[in-house]
Amino acid sequence: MSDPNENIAPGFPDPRAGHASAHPPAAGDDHGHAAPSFGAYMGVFIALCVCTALSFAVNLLLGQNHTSAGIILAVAVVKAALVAGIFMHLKFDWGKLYCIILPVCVVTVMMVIILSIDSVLAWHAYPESSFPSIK
Amino acid sequence: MRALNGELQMAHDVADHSKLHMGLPLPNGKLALWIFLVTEITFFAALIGTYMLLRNGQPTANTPWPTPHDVHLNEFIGAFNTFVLICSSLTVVLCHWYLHEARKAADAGTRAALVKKAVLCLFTTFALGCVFLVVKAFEYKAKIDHQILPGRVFELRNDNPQRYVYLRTVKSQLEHIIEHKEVNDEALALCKALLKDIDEGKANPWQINERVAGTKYVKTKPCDMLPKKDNDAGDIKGILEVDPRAHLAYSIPYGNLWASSYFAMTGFHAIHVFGGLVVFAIFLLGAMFGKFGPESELAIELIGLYWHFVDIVWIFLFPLLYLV
Repeated sequence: MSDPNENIAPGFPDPRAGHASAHPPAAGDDHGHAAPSFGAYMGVFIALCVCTALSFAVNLLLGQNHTSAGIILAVAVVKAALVAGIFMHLKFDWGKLYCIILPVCVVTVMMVIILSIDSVLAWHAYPESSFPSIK
Repeated sequence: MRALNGELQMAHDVADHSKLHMGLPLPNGKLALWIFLVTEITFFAALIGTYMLLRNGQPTANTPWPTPHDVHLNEFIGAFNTFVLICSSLTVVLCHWYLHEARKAADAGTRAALVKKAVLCLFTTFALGCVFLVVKAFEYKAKIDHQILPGRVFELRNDNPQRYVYLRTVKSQLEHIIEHKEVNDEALALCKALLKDIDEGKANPWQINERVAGTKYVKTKPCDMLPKKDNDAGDIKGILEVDPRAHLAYSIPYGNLWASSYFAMTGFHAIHVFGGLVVFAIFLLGAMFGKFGPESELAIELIGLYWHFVDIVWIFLFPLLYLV
């Protein structure tokens, strides 16, 4: 009989170990290699609140222009990264999930590039105005 | 052959010569949910991409995209909703954390206490989600009250026959205001004067718009919006500048596009929030009947993933719609 672990990559639970709990074995305990602590969750929460307040303040103080738009969207990306990385455990599961997530992100960026072409064509159709809507 | 989760097993072990193995070292549910979430990423990317294209494609030196103030959008309410969703993301992840700790707990007493805290976190998440939807409902009501709906926003252009509908709409709104005395005295006097001019045919739609919104507002939308003036009077103070409570329609260039984008994006997001709340409600019902415990850890992790995704979408929607 072949070694039960022969075809299982290291780190995989042995499927023949039986159902020790009601779950498939990879749940919960699989975070044994890493999992955010209570403090980490609270820290991320505070960071998110600070980022939200920062965006709101930048909008209030700088108004609507390219600079404030750039800052606000950059802050939004940071917030999304914090939620995705820590709250959604992507920081720990990335190695298992990147195959699914990365292609979609690539396609999204491609979409933005393609749409930019349409935007630029629209600007050229109206020569009297040349800047996008943020004044 | 054997699946890694051990759920299927052949009667005989087949000598498996290849080192390939099926699946990912994840619970099936988690993998499935992530696949679903990436489809949702494409869904919202389409909506946001359309919004970017519509907004960036405008000849905005002459007819700028509506500002939040034009369309009765309150940034503070948007920020509050963002805060509510961030709090709910925290509570759902804490619920998962408490269940995780409960599974590791040594004695039944500690376990029960931790599960109780988890249920409290779950309930808080549900409540915060409801708060989000209630605030959204109030925002939508504000839009509906001001008729800022796709296809219902007045956009006066030189040759737009809508201008006659606008004239009639403002006339009936003025009659309503005068009858119910909904505004202060100065605004009431302006309303009466405007109604008199409309009845006597002395005011064209652009002049009405200027008298409602004020010259300052009209000047921010230069192009088609400059009223046809016979004489060069000074800046007119609009009725809405005197008393913002007056329910009077005014022209919002690209208001219809704005309304379409706004309702499409926030509407679909609200539907996603509602779907998440339904699942939370099912868990809470389960908790009421004692069917919620450390064994629910994976399930809570999955709904938590969905909820975090909904939060991330709002993290992008809030600046795109309210701030930028």
